[in-house]
Amino acid sequence: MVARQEIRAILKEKTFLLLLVIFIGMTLASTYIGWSSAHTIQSVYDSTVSLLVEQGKAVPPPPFEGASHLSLLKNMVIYVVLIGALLAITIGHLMGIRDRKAGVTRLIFSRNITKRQFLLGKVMAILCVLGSMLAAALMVSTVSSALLSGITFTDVMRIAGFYGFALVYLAGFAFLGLSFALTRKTSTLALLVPLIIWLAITFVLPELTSALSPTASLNPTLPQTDVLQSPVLSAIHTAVYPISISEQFKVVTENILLVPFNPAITRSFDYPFWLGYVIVPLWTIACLAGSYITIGKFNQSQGELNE
Amino acid sequence: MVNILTTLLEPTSGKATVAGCDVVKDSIGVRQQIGYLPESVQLYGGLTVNENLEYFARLSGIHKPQRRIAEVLDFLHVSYGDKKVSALSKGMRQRIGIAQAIVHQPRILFLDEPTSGLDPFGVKELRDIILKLNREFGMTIFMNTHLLSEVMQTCSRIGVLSHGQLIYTDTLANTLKRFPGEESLEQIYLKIEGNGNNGQ
Repeated sequence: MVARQEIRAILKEKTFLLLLVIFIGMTLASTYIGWSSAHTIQSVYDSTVSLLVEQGKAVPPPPFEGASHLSLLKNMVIYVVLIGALLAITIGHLMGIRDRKAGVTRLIFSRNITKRQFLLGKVMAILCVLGSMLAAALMVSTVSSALLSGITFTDVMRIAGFYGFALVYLAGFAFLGLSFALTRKTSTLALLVPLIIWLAITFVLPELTSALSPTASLNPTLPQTDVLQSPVLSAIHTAVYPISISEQFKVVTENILLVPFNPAITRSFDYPFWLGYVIVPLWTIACLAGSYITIGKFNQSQGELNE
Repeated sequence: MVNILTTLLEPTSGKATVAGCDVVKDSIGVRQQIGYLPESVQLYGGLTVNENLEYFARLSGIHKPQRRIAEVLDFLHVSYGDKKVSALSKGMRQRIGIAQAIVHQPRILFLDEPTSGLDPFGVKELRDIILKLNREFGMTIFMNTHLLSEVMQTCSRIGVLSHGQLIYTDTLANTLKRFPGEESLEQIYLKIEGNGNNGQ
């Protein structure tokens, strides 16, 4: 019942609807942008090859040799990390804060509902909304990829795998938003704290991992050898990489979508590529556990916001 | 006290039972038998009256609440079921507050300062509803209020709380008999409160 009520309510929230439209719009745009970039690079390559053949010079290998059709969706990985996570926090926040803002928590908990059942309802609503949103994105990506480059059944399964993993990743952010929405005394603080955590995960931690490989970050071509780094930077890499959740997500999903790795980024770490398959679900479980602890401490008689 | 009896707050010491159910050990048992109207009635402003009532009815385990909601609204003479709660006046919201509290037909109804913020007309309307609920449906009403005139016109049994202690409890009729020299309930209250504070 709580889940149904939450889903009905969130569909009336303007902030959520706006972010949803942006997310779906970017999903559509990502395929086109990927296709457009690939098309441009291929055209330049074709012209160059013609010129080189005329001059009798050696022809370099094609730029997308061995690359999957799905590499067109590479931008989606970034959109999930940026706008998707923001949307997930918003969903969790709105679902957690709504009853407190309306001042109905005392009415709710004077009914036949325990705090655990209340939380379960919220979690189900979050998963349902996120799942529907990602299912819509899956359809958009599949159709647009099929139209622009042609895809196989295996490709569709890979896209589904990508969005499935994105659901796990985003659910963590939604639970984070929910936890703070249930505990903070003001709605501003309840939104600000998860946003700061999102900023740290999305922008700060990557600065301490992949962005510490300046050559790899600046040079779009794949280096043939490992880039040498200072021991200090390597030590920071090694320490921060396992907890750099957004990086783990990128590595896993690029692997699912068969986007070629940049060896300068990935090979320099002492960790296997599958680490993200463990770290990201752990992150989500930790956030869910946080919500569970939070609801246990929730004061039913003084649950309303102080604003 | 109301927070403890409605299971919203666990007592730090002592024991309380409502309708035979312990408020700590069987809080769900208590909740199944009570209705609650907080001092300041808050509902989902963005939802209509019907949507609010449907939600709270379902939370109380009523799977198809439409008919029951119609009955309750009819009983309370509410004709604005399709209006959003945010568009209602304080008095109208108070009625909807009562509707949500009785929609699941509780045995006991807890009213926390129910007349707070109401105009005299609203106070009279509410008093009539309370009396009707008790007389027609046999519902026990637990009401806490600072308006002793309301107590006089509504209650059959009273209790006096002073500094967290229940210092007096009896029927209203017995109380009036016990203090024959006092002109009003206010004077009786002051006497009880004075005795209580003096440790008598």
